[in-house]
Order: sequence, then C-alpha cells, then structure tokens
Amino acid sequence: MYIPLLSGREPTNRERRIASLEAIAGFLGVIWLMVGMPLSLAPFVCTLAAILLLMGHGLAILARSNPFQTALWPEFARRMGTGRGQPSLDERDLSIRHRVFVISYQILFLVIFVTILAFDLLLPHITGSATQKWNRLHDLIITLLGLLIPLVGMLPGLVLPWLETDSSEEDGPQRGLSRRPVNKQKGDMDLFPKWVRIISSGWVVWGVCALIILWVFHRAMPR
Amino acid sequence: MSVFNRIAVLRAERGISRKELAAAVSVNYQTIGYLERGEYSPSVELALKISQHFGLPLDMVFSLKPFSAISVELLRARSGGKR
Repeated sequence: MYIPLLSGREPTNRERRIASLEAIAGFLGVIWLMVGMPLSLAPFVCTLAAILLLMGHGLAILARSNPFQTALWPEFARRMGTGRGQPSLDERDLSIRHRVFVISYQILFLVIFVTILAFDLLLPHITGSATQKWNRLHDLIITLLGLLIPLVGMLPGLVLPWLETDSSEEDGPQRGLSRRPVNKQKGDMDLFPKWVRIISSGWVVWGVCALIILWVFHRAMPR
Repeated sequence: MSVFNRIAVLRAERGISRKELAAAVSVNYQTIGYLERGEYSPSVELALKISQHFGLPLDMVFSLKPFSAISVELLRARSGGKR
C-alpha cells in the first residue's frame, strides 16, 4: 500500500486509481453521514474517523500526484508544489490533460444535475430550513458551491489515472514492434458508455441544466 | 486512425535508452514508452523529429499498416537479392 511521504517514491497510476476511489468513497461517506447521521455519539465519531481516514489517504495520494491543472484551467505553464523538480509537460502530457479537462466538465455537469435532482430528497436531512422556499434556493446554492469548490480542484486528479496506463520503466523489457493501434486503446471517451457521453456532453447538458435552474427558480420564487 | 511504429526495434538496434531518445527529441521518457506500446499517436512534429534522429525516412519508422517482422523482411530482401 502506498503511504504518502513514507513510501519514498511517486505513486503509480494504479495506486492513484485506488486513491481516487478512496476519495470518492470518503466524499460519499460524508454525504451519507449528513443524510443518515447516527444519533449516538460513539458510532458517529467512529464512522466519521473511518471516513476521514479513508478520504484523507486518497486525497493525500492525489495531492502527491499533482496533475498540474484544475477543472477551471487545462494546464499550468509551470509545475508547482510537488512537481517543481519534474520535467515540463510535453505534447502527450498536454494532450491527455486536455482530454481530462473535457471529461472533468462532463462529470461536473453530471454532479450538478444529480445534486439538483436529488436536492429535495436530501434537504430535509441536511437542514431543517426546508419549509421556506427562499431558504431552499439558498441552501441549494450553498450545497452546490460546497460540492463544486472541492471538485474543481480534485476532478482532474481523479480522472487522469483512469486515462493513463502505468508509465514504463526507464528502459523496461523490449516489447518489439508496436502492433497495438492507438485507436484500439481505452481512450478518453471510452471511460463512459456511449449513452452517458451523449447525455453529458455539450448542448444536452447545458439545455437540461438551464431547464432545471429555471424550474428551481420558478418553484422558489415567492408568489 | 491507427499509427504503428518501429521505435522499440530501432532503439534496441542502436542501443539507445528511452531517456536518451527522449532527450534528443525533447519529450519525457515516459512518452517514448507510450509510443512504443502504441498508446499514444505522435504529432507530425514529434514523428519527424524521431525519424530524423534515426536518420530514416518517416515511413520507415511510422506506418498506418502494421509492420512485418524484421526476420520476414530480411528473408524477403535476401530472396529478392538472389534473383
């Protein structure tokens, strides 16, 4: 198991993939705690500690493997933080980061879509202020911001290891001629089934999001 | 579009490490690994730099069709030469 700072090496893509699953599980765990919080103190503290440990381990590995981008910016010209001593990004690094950028947005829109759809179900558990319509809108905006701010920073790191295989050793065993055509690889767009890609891309997402936002505003407006 | 290459064979033939080739064409050494495994299709600029580095025409290093094995090509060349 990779332990940040103690393992003395960079995490592999496989370890990053596991870390991304840990971070997502931790994220969902926090939401679950908010929705179905155990009433007594001891189970609550134990569950919270386990979730934070899991999420902390995942996030620490992802922070260690800084992808040098956020969901707001496809790549940084200069490497920062843990990547300061590493070589600059080449054309393959840049092309994969641009694909990560697109996929991050697709996931971001799906998260917004699901959050808005599920909000009325979650709200009474999150807060007791669901009775007033303007409070509901306020809470929705706060919840979306609370989800989006960490996701904007985390998403590229979560997505990148799923698009890259483990980088080869410096001079690993010779594998002979490249017989595997590039388009047969599990590429960026193969991460999701076709129907998910259609639903989560371009005008469909924008259209649906606009309709939902209009609907939420319409319901929230005082009459 | 599928792009096949002979980088691994050429590198082994000339005893060049991935790091040396990467430094010569100004990319990270992992990129050479991805190219050799067919997991990345290079830009025209990178393809030209690599073929220039090996001193070979572009179509001898990169191809849209799978390359035949070197042994088969040698055999073909030998039988062609005898005729």
